[in-house]
Amino acid sequence: MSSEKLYSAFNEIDDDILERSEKRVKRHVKHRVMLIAAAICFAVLLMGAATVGFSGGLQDWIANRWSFTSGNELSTEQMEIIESLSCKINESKTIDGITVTVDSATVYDRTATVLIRVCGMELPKEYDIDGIKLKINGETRGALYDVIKTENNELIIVIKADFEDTEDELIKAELSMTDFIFSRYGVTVTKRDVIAKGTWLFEFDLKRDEFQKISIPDTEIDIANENGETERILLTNIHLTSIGVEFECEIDKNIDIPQKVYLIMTDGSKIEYSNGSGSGESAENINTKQCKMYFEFAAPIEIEDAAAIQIGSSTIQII
Amino acid sequence: MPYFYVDIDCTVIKMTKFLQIYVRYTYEIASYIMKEKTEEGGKRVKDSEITELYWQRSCEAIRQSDSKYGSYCMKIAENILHSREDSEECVSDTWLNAWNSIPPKRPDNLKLFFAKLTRNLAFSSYRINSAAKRGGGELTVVLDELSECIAAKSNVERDYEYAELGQCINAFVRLLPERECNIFVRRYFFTESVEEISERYNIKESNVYVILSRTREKLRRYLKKEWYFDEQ
Repeated sequence: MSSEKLYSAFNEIDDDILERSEKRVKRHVKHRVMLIAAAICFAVLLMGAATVGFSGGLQDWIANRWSFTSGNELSTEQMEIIESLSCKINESKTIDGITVTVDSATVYDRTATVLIRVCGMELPKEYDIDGIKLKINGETRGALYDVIKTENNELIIVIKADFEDTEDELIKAELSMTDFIFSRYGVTVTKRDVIAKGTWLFEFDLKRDEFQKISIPDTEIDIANENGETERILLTNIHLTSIGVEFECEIDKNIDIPQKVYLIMTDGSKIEYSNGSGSGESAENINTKQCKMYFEFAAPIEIEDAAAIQIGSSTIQII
Repeated sequence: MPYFYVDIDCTVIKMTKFLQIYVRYTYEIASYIMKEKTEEGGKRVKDSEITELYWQRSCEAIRQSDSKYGSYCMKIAENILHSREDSEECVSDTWLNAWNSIPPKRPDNLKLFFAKLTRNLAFSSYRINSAAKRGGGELTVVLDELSECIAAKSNVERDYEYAELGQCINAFVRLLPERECNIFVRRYFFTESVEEISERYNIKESNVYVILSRTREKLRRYLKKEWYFDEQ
């Protein structure tokens, strides 16, 4: 096989993947200016009430993710929602000159995002991080989501964790970072370097708010089976909130739920989910599985402006 | 008998040339009219309407395609060919190919349908040019990078069909996290330079290099796992 043949084969990549790559991410500096401007405008509108907080941390990161996936800036309303769902933690611990700060967290319906800052450490040119754990209500649920090295050699780590559906308003979180180990990927071997030894441990509470939910009647949609034939499946318990879409269904064991879920807004714009999860369980001797799916958007949306949900090739109108 | 074959070939060549000239002439006039119209504040038509024009065999289809996606296709061709003249020829051939394929095709995404046509045509042109030692530019580097993903020597090499390899690449990019996937696609589908990718996604060039290098390594392992090649 030649590299030319391999290059030609890239022509078979699906359109949705190519289309997604077209979106540009606007410059961060401009973004900050706009966010601050929006925050100031909002403060002026409230006239004397508490100003909209702007941490330049997690909100900024969410804004950047939003810009990356939708190509748009966050609206003031979206910033307001993020602000209401975020809390400043600001807890620091220093071991051998390395300071780890749990900066802030944003809690959605069933996911939490935590931003951590690390400074006082020389970073290798290429790295990946190991040894970070985030426990939610006693269970290890966290996963490393993003790592950014800033110009002043500070490391920004974003961890995202999902948790079981809970009615509790307060969620217990425990974050531990043990021995900074950087895995460097080579062509054939992976080198693991211990940069710093120690355990940075944090315990904090996360506040979870109730979300306004729009319930959508049970709806049948078309999905393709493994032979490419169209089958109709019934979606039940369909709910839309400002941060995502969830539904349940019973489908054949061999069929996968479409991984493409969009929200169509009243102005015709499409919002693609950025993070999705789902589980399918089936008993023995039964050819179907019970699936519970949850798709989250890159940033909260204004639920009143949602017109329809698109799952695969089917569109479900929101009344 | 030989004359018969030659005659048929000549006729085909003449007809193709005629159609090429006809298409080029039509869209040059069309571009002029479109320019006039845009200056008057004319609105661009929707993709579905352009497709419908192709189905109606209306030359307006070429004009609208060029007006809406001419510069987009030109960029794709230039990334591969590094020559304005060759790229212009490639883009006009794109409309000719589109004219020949719609109908029966009805592309879901017209922009990317044109993108794929342009990429194919530009790559064919690149191969002819590089055979005549006129190659070079970004694609040469891209092909060099992709050669890392395949074994230098193969013990057992499966000569897969193009479509099968295409499916494999498609499955691979679907497994990648969104950001890596986007960067990988910009480099190896759109043949964009690292600088362009860095600007598009607002990340440092060094990060783009790292992501590309890691993803190529992942692809190499993936292809190996799928038995496209066997390392020594």
